[in-house]
Amino acid sequence: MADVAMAHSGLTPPQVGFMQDAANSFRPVYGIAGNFLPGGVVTGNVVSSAYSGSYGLVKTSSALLVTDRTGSIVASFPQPDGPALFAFTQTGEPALAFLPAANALLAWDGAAFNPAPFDPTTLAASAVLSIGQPHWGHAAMIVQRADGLWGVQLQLSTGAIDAQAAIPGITGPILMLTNDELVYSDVNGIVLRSSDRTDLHIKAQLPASFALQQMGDGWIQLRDLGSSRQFAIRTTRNREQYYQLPEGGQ
Amino acid sequence: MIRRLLLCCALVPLGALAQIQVFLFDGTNETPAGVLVNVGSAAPGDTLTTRFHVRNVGEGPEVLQTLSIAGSGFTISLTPLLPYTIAPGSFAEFRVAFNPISIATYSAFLLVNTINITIQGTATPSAGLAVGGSSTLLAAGAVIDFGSVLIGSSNLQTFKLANLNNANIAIVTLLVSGLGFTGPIGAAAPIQLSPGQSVSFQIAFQPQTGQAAQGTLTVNQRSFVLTGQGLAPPLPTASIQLGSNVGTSAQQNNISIPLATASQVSGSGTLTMTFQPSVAGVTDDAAVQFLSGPTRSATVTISPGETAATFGTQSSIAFQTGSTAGTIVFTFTLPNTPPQQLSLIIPPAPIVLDTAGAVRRASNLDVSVTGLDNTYSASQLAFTFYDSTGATIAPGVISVDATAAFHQYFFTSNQTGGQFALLATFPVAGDVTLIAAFDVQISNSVGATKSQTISF
Repeated sequence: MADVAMAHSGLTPPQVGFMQDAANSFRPVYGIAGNFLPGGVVTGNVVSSAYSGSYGLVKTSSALLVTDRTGSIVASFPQPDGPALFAFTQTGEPALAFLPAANALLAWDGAAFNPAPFDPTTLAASAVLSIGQPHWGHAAMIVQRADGLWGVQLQLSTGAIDAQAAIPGITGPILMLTNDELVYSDVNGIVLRSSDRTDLHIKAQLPASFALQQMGDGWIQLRDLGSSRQFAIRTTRNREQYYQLPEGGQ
Repeated sequence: MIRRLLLCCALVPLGALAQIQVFLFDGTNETPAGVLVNVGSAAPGDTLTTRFHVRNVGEGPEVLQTLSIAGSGFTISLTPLLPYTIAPGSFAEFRVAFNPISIATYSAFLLVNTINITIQGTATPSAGLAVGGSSTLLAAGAVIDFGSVLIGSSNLQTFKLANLNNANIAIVTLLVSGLGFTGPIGAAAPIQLSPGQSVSFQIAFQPQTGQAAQGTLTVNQRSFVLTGQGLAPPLPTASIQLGSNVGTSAQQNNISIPLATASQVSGSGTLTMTFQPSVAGVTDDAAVQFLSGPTRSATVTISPGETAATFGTQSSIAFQTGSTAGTIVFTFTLPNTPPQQLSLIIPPAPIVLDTAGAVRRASNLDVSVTGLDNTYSASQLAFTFYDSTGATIAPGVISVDATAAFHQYFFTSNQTGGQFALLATFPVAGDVTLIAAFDVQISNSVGATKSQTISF
């Protein structure tokens, strides 16, 4: 038996997550779907970023940062300039970082990022487009090969590939989510492909050139690489929608 | 010889002779004026102006005391106020106008202090120029105004050249120059005009810009000034159009500005938005804003040939409606045009629940809800918990009056409008894992909103 009573409650501004704005600053986005308010800049010189809803991973021109849900930096690791790809655990904690310029795969041990065994030549790919951690001890990558996109799974302990499969009919940009969902685009807008390979289409007029990165729990940021406009994709089941994020105040 | 020199010294002060000199000035260069100056020829009724400089070439100041002209057809048209002191190296300018009234040779005596100059001019026969049906002849230099003309339109004026003299006149030069002016139409030099004969021609003014235009009509040595004002066609009527005319909170809408017709000209205006909350004590909602560029203002561009205004490269601009009931007013302003306004009313509404979830702790249950209350009047909360069979868990509906908490949240240092994230903690007596689902109902001044049953 269970018996419930209310002890206390608190009211705060709701927060969608963190975005990388047009000025490459990492900043919180307050609000709810359709009503966004960017907050103050947490850090600048951001090259890549992602936020799970609990933790932020930020690659600046000189460091790899881990932030908490308030944006406070909880860990910082010097790194050379260049972008990064990030992955979180299913509970939103930091998992992996991939630095394409250095072909380095870093794994989070709860306190620090450590290099994981990784031989990029085994991928036989021209680029890594997205990474994830579907299971403990494994890294997943979506890579660009001459014949299209492939999903590759690596053992973190050895760097060996233990599974791979083609992803036909899809081109990048593409983002792998922690629940094995894929986010990509077609001519009509955004497509969410669930782990059972069913597709959900979100109608949207997409920019000609864009990048995808996680900005919150159930939220993806779509960065227009040709203008200062920023967009958000809600991936929450039955609430899927495409929004524009405000530029004002940036 | 000695006597002649002494006589000369007695008549003319030596300093004046040495320090004051008279020059002809063509607007750029000075040339010394001799004892005889021929100003040239002019037609009867015309005025030919000659510019003179009185220059002090000495080392001390000189005073220009005397400036006069005696003779028919000549007047001094511009003179400094005498006596006029000229500093060393400086000059004073005066002008002599030759204005003959009949064909003849004219002369006059010009006196500058003690310097005597003979001025000569000749009145020569010329064809009289009149505009339209007027019999009034124009003097050289007269201004012929074509008025205001829209770009793309034309104003045509008819001119008549007539020989009112007793001898033949040859029109060897008949030219029109100046941007927007074309002609002569219907006549071309050379033209021979016998006494009493006339010829008509036309000049068209077709402005290419919305600016003032000036040109010249040249008839032999005589010039006439052509003027006109180009007018840009008015911008077509514009309207403000919303993607959706139904206003709700947390809505991303868009606005466009279609034109009644394709624009013939370019223009630039401003679209602004203001927000007037209908919630007492609330002055604004920062989330009411355009999603591109500045928060409350957008530059609107109208291009020739386009049937809709643009915002940068986009045909519409997105905005969001915030989380406060009230009225959003859009104002579209174009230069020299009355502003247009359109209002979008955001009516008070029941609370909107955006997310709801729960997390089990050891002996607690944390329920989180996000949403918005655009009336800022949230009051009663009612939570109900269920087990995995759907049975209600004791004590049943848990009601809480949160009026004070919401009021303090909304009206104390609130910068996010009517949005809220509620975290409620429930101590659980017993096995917390038996709680499988919940629903929540939140009321405000408009009504109550109940969530779906949330399983967790």
